[in-house]
Amino acid sequence: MKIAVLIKQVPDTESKIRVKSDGSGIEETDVKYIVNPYCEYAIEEAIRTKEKIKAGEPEAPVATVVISLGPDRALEALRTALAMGIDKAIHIDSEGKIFDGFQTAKILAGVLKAGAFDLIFCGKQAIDDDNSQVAQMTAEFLDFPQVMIIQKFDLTPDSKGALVTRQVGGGAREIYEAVFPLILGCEKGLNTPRYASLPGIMKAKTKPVEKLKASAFLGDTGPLTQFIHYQLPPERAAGKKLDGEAPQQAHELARLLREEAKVI
Amino acid sequence: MKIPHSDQFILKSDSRIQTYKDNPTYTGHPDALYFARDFRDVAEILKECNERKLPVTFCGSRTSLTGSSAANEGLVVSLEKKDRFLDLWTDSKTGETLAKAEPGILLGDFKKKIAEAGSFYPPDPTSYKEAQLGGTVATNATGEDTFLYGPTRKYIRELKILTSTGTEKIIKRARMPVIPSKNRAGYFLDGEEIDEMIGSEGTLGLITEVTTAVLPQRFDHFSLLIPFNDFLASIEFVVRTVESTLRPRALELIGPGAIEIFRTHPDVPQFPKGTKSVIYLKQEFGKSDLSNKSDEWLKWIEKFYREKGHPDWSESIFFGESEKQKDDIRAGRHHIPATVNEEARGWHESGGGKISTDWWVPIDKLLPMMKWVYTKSLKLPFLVFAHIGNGHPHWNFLTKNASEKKMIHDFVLEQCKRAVGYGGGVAGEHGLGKIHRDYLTIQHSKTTIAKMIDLKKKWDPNWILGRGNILPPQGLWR
Repeated sequence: MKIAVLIKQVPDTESKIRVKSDGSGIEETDVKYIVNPYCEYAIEEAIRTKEKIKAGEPEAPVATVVISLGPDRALEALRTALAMGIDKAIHIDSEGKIFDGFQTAKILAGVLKAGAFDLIFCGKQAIDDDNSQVAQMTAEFLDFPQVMIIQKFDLTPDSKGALVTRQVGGGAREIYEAVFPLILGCEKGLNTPRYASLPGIMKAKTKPVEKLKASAFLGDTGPLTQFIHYQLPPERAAGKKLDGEAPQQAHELARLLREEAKVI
Repeated sequence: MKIPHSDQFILKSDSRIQTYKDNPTYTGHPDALYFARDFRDVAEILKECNERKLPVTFCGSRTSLTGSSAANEGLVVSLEKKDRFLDLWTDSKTGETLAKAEPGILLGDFKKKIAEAGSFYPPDPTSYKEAQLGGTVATNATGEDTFLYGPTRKYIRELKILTSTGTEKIIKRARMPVIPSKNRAGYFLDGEEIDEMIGSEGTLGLITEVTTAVLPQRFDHFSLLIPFNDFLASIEFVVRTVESTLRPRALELIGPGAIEIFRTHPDVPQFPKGTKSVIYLKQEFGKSDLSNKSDEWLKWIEKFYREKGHPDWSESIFFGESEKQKDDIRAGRHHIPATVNEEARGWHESGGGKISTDWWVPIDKLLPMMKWVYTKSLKLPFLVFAHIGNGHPHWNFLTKNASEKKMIHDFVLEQCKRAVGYGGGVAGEHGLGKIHRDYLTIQHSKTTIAKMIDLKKKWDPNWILGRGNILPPQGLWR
C-alpha cells in the first residue's frame, strides 16, 4: 500500500506578520515557518496507519510519502515529517511562483497520479490563507472519493478501505464506509501528533527526497483567483471616555450610540 | 488624623479581601487592602503608617511559595493596577538596551513586549505568566534558563522605590557584584544599595519602577526530553553534562513522582515503560548549526545509555522545535507544581499541606546529596523536579496532618543543614518569606544575621514593611 501525505509550510502563529510596503505579499524575513498544524494530524495518521498494518503483518509492503509544493524552505517542513517517521519526501519546487488553490491542486494531482497512491491524507485547511479547497479539488482532478474534516479513521480488517467519521452541525456525526483510493482532510481531534525523536531528526537527514518541478505538472493551467493586494486589518480605534456624573454620562452614551455608532 | 485615602481601603469584613489573604502555602489575616493606582497616594499612606507604626505588606500576584506576599496584620497594598510598560531604548553611553516598566506588569507580558521589539529578557520563573515583574525583583527570581543566563539580579539596572517613610528614591547600579546563580538566604550583603533591594521580599521598600537590561534576540532553541529507567543515573547524567563542554540553556529534572503528573498532561509525549525520571533541556542554535548541535547531544546521550545498558532508549529522546511543542513541554512542566499545590490545598484544613525544599548544592556534591535524600524519602509521598543543572531540585512532600507536617519539616531542616555543609544554600529562589524564616540561622552566622538586622533597621526603622518576612517581627529575637 502506498500512503501519501500532502503538507503545507505556513508561518508560525507566533510570528508577527508584516505586509510588504507595496502590498504584494508578506515580509518573509524574521518569519518562522512551521508545518501547518492540520497537516501534522495527517502525518501522524499516515504513520499510525503504517504501524497498524505492520503490527498485523510485518512483511506487508507499506510506504509513506510526504509531498509539499513550495520554495526551498518547504524542505524543512518535509524534514520534520521524515523525522516523525515518514519514509520518503517529494519536494515540488514552486520555481519562485505563487499558485492559487486550483493550480496547486492540479500540480499535486499530477504528482499523485504518477505515484499511484491508495490513500492520501491532507490537513483540512492551511492556517495561512484558510482557503480549504486544495484537498477537495485534488480529489476531483484524480476522480478519487473524498471525506473532509475527519475526526476518526479506522482501517477495515482487509486494509482495503476504512470507516471514517466526521462531525457535522448540531453534534451529529457522519460515518462513511470508503474503499481505497481515498483522499481525507484531517481535523483536530483525530490524533495527537508525535514529537520527533532525536535519532529520528538525525535519520531524516539521510532519507530520500525526490525533487520535482511544478511547471512539469501545471501545463498551461492558469489561476482562477488572484491576490491583488495584501493589507493588515485596520487598527482598533481609541476608546472614548465619558465625563460627568452618571446621569450625564448615560445621556451622552445614548446620544453616541444613536448618532455616532448608529446602533440604536 | 485618618490614614490618607483610607476611604478606598477594602476592609477585612469585605469578602473582596479574601483573594488577597492567600499565598499557595500560607494564609494571612490582613486588616485592609488597597489597590495602588497612583504612587503619590501610596507615599502618603506609607508616611502615615510609618508614623503610627502600622504594618504594610506589598503583594503582586501572590504566587509566593513562602507566604511573603500574605500579611499577618495591617494593610496589604496590591500592585496589580500599576502594570504599564514604559519604555525600551538604547543607552547612549553603554550601548546597552534597557526596558522600563511598572512593577505590576506580568512578567510574561513584559517579556513579550521586549520580544516584539527583537530583544530578550532572560529571567523566566515557571510562574512567568502569572508573576508580576516587581515580585520577581523582590525575590530575585530564577527559572529554568538561569542555568545559562543567571538570576534576575544580573539584569536590574535601576529601581525607583518608595522608602518606609514614603520618600521616593532612585537607585542605580554602578558596578556588578559577583552573582551566584542561586540565592543563599536573606539579604544580599556583597553588593551595592540596589542589591540590598533586589531579593528583599518587600521588607526594605516598595519598588515602583524597574529598569532592566535586555539582550539581543540572537538564538533559537530546541528542547529535548531524555528518559531514564533509573533515577540516580539521571542525576549522574546531569553532573557529567554540567562538567562537560556542552552548554545547554536549561537543564531540568522531572523525577520520581513528578513524571507521573507530567505524563497526565495531554500534550506531552509518551515515554517508555519503566521511565523513572526525565531530563528536560533546552539548547540554543544559530542559523547553520542545528544539525551539529542535535548530533552532539545524540552522541553524548547515546554514549551514556550504552554505558548504562539500555541503548534502545535513544528512540525515545523527544525533540521539540516548534513554538507549540516547546510551549507544550513548558505547560507540562508547569502542570507539576500546579497539580501538587491544588492537591495540597485540600490538606490545609487538617493541618497538613505541601512542604517544598528550595536548597541547592554545588554540582560536585549533587549526587551524594540526592542519593541521601532519595534513600530517606522512599517511604514518604514525595516528588522531585526542577533546576537540577544548578544543583537545585525541588523536593515536594505531601502531608495530611500537623504531625506529618512537623516530621517533614524536621527532615527538610536536616536537608538544609547538609546542603549548607556541602557549600550550598537553603533558599535558592523562593525566598524565606514567613514559612522558611528558620532557615536563616542554618545558613548564616550570628554576625551575618546581625548585619542583616542592621540593614533592615537602616531602611525601615519602625519595622513596618513586609513584617515577618526574612526576619521575625521586631523584638522577638531580642
